[in-house]
Amino acid sequence: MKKIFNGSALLPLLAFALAMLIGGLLIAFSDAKVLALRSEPWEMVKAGAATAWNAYVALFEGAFYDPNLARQGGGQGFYPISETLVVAAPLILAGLSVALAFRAGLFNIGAQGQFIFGAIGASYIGFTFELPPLLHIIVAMLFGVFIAGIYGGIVGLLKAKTGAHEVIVTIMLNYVASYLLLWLLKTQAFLREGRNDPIAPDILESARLPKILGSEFRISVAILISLLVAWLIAFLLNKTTLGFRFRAVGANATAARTAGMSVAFVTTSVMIVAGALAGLGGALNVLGGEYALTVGIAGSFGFDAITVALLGRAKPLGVVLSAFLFASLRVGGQMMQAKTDTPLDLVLVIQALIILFIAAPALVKALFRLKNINSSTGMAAKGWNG
Amino acid sequence: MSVELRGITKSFGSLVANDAIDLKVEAGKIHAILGENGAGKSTLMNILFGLLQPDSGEILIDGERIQVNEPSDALSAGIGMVHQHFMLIPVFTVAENIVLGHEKIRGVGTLDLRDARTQIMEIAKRFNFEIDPDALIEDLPVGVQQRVEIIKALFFNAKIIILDEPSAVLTPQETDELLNVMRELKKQGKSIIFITHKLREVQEVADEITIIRRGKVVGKAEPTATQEELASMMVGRPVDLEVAKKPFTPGAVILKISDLKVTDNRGRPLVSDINFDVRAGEILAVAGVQGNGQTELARAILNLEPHIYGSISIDGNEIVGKTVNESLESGIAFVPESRELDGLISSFSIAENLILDTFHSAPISKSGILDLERIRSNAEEYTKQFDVRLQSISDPASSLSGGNKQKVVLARELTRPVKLLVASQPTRGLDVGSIEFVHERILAERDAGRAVLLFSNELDEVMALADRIAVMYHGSIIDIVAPSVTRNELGLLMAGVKGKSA
Amino acid sequence: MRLSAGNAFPIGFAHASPNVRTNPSGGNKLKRSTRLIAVAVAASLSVLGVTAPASAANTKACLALDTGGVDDKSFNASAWAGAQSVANKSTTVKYLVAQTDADYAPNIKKLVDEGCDIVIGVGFLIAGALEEAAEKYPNTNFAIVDGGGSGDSNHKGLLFATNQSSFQAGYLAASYSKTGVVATYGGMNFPAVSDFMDGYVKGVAYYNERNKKNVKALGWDPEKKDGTFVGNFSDQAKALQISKQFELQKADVIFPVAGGLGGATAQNAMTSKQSVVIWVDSDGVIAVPQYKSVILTSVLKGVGTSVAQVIKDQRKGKFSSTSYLGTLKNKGTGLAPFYDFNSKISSKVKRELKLIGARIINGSIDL
Repeated sequence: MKKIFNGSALLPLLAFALAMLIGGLLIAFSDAKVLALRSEPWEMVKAGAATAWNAYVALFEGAFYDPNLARQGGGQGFYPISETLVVAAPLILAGLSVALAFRAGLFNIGAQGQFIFGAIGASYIGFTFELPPLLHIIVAMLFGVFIAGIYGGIVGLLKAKTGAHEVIVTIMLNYVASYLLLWLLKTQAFLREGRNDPIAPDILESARLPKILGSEFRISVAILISLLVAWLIAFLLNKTTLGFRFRAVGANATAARTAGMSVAFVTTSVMIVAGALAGLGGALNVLGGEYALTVGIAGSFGFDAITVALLGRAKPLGVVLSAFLFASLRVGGQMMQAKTDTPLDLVLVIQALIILFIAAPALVKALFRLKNINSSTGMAAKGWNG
Repeated sequence: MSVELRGITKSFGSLVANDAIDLKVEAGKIHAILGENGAGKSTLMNILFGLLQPDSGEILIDGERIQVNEPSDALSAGIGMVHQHFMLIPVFTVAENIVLGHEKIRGVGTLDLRDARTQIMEIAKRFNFEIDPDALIEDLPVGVQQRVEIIKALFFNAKIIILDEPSAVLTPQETDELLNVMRELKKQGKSIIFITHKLREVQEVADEITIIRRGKVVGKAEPTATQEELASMMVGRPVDLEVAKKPFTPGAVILKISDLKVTDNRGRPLVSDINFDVRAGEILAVAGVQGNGQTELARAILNLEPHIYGSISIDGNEIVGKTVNESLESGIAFVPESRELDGLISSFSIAENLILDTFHSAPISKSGILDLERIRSNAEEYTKQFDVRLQSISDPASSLSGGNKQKVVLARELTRPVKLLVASQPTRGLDVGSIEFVHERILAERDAGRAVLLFSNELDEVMALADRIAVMYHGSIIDIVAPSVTRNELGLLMAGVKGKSA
Repeated sequence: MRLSAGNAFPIGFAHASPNVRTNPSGGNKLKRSTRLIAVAVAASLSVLGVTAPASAANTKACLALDTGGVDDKSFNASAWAGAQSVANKSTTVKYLVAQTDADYAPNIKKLVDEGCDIVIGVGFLIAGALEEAAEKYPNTNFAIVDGGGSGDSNHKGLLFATNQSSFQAGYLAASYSKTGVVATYGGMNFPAVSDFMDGYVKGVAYYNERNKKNVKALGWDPEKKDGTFVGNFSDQAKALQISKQFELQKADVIFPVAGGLGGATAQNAMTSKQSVVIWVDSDGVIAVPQYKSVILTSVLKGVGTSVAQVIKDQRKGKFSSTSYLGTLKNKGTGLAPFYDFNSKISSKVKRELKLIGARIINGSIDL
């Protein structure tokens, strides 16, 4: 027990409970049926609790396991968690991109743009060329990763050579990527036959990632690739000299420089890797789930990645877990809307609350008057200059 | 006003920082609390000032028990504190910094500083301070900034002022001024709690001395006690403050600097016309008032400065224009001026800090993969060899005391195959025991036939260790003299007055 | 999650990712094996009584909305209003909003799993996902607003010949213009949008031809099938910028075909007093009464009517896959009343508009 109190396990649990409580109140009070019982407070409390409970059950069922679907057989009960994993895969990679840069002291706001570049590259190879199946996937993925890596590397190079602040540069490059995508989708090379709206041709079968649970489920090897990459990044950070350089520069650039490390080299190379990671996310999203490049291909993955990375304390395992949390809220939230008529906006509010409470342990500590809990708030609270 | 602490105990995890400490400070007295770094002095004062809560024990003011939950409680009880690291905002004026948090607002959010300014002038007059309330903090020398902190305490009517290691950041002259200020405060009836580990200062001003070691009060001493006596009580064993030095037997020239010039980004010279050699088995100490180019010269030798002209050679190999890493590899051990900023990565483990400049090659890593087992054994070996007091080599470096941090830096730098040791202010802010250790190591390097270039602002240190002394003034070396020079002669050189050379 | 795409992230990335509604999953056909499984699943569902289409006493009609949400004051809102108008004891209606484009297919699946008898996709962008679903779930009926039928017997298209009414609107705009310049712009270039713009510009041309005038129409080129587009349905700033550009080019009647973005144009017209607006989809004077004073008329699109009709058919067990086409003739599209502008439009023009309507219906004006 003492371990729990001293460690960081208690805080997220309390944060989660608190977010659920406040969210539950919101759900209850937004329900007209509950409000109608104002004259009978006890009945109102009961009805409110029931409403909130149902909403959370829907959230859970929508994100993990749905007993109603299970009756269809064929493992359909697990369809929700398969969907969660579909969303989690690109999010893990984009989150790793932000987290890795963060460990080297850089705030990569540009995961969105890098994600888009990866998607463009993979999609172009995926629908243009006809190659043998496995080779096609690899070439498409690598090309997306390659151009996204260059796109990220530009940021690092600019920072290293001119001192341009990476936050400004990445924000601007996000615009460039978004509008470049918009423009590309109107060009002949990317226009789908018979369509005027910005949607690229479908990815050829040979370039689509193999599904791992049969065609009834959308889940593909993308999730396995992203977990493998997360492990690789953990290895890179903790076991390699390159990772040591990244971490050293991130933790104290002047000391790293005094010890003979080249900050310019680290800045450039970490941004190349970060770009490649987000780009792989984009490539997997288009090859493993969406199958066609559209303007909305990146959704808000690149931005959610920032929260995912901070929530995951910029550690690979943390990123995997927080991406999974994000994805389950995202997927489950949709079910909450479908099943219980909780308005979408409220679903988003609850999702944000959960993230907020988990990201702000100091707040939770204050609310519960906990003292001396040693939580590593450093990462989430760290400033722009890391 | 007198203050009494009774049975104060405070522990952090398994570490007991304060163990049933009793302390009584009489009104109108300067009470020195002497102890090595990490002895628990700062913890005790943070408890008195309300920054930390004791596990047990009580605080009494004039015999009345009071509850100090936060600094504002301490302030209203008449306790003021001047921290080792100033709590000032550089871009604000003196007056603004003093009223910070208690501003008066006039009209639509305009700051009303008139009253504050008058009050500050009054305080300055009463205590014989010279201060311009409208000067920006960043334009003021460190000594004056410290005075602003003291005025701040007085501004809030503090009757007991805690000075936490106040001389750590000061030059010898500034320290003398500080001691005068303390005497003046005492004369006007203030009580002062003076936290320090500097024996000379204690002897000069203290009325009462309490010595703390490992969280416990180990005794009291009279101001008449000798430095050796005080140091022994602090360290817990007999201490010999004399440095034992073997005879000087210089070898071949290792470091040769000719016509060196270092400029800033706009081309203004920071260091110019530097010419000197350091031989194997020799300690060349560079003395001077802080800010006369010593920092830049030291950094230039490692190619850390961006604009370097002229020649620096190590054992005959030119290194100007090389990378920092190449400079290190050419045989330089570098102990930077600031352990916290340049020497260590605080959040990294001790083991990782020990490989900061050797991680990239065998045996620490092979083809880009770190050998974690090797890093561990490396750390075990070096921390033992350099007597680093630690709980675990995987603890962050920030968990170490100043002396142990410096030992980690030394362990890393001196275990590489080097020809030259460049040490910048290697004992700054260290306690007696650690200073002793660092001095021994530096002498050992010299005796082992390495060249040593020592930058130090501590005259005693320079005179005790050096085989030759170079004095820097306004970016140049004004003279190189023998260690037999008098303190007075050195002082004149440091002020730019060149008389007869040695 | 939509935490950051401009909604909650504090640094202001709103425009970094154009929030465009697009079709996420194209039209990839399912393999035969999938269909077999789907049939089997659906059959087992029927056995369990989860859904029993047509024969059930209770009808459950569900709308899969796009990312615009239910309050978009445009076709999502119209569709939901239409559905609500036919809800009764034996008919329950519900909707599901997509958070992002990637939600379309999963959302449709959710509605099918929920036991909806008919799933109506609202908006062209959702068409691809709905078509796939129709193939996959043969026991559920599907209808798509702004899309054609796929040929499957459980899939119905709901289309609107909005070029007809827009033609009238173009004629009206040309006659109303004092500067001799009128304009239109769209959200994105796809048929459900460009039909309006095309009809509008052709209506202006018709006016010029009949009256020997030379009114210019900006924003759409019927030859190239391209024109002025915001690129999405959410960027108010860009819509405003386009509207101002048109005014600078002397346009005094602007026809925004971009859902709720028309509000930006109307707002601009309110302050500049240099132009009037033709509202799109629903009657602007009712939907956005605050802009009443600058709304010349509205080009109506009977989304609500058609959705209501489809649900009624479903309830009676009369669902048919024959596409519905809203025209001037069946009042599936048309011009709204002129309200404040009634007195400013000459009776001659009103007569001609009626005549044009008749000619379109009888085919003597060929669009």
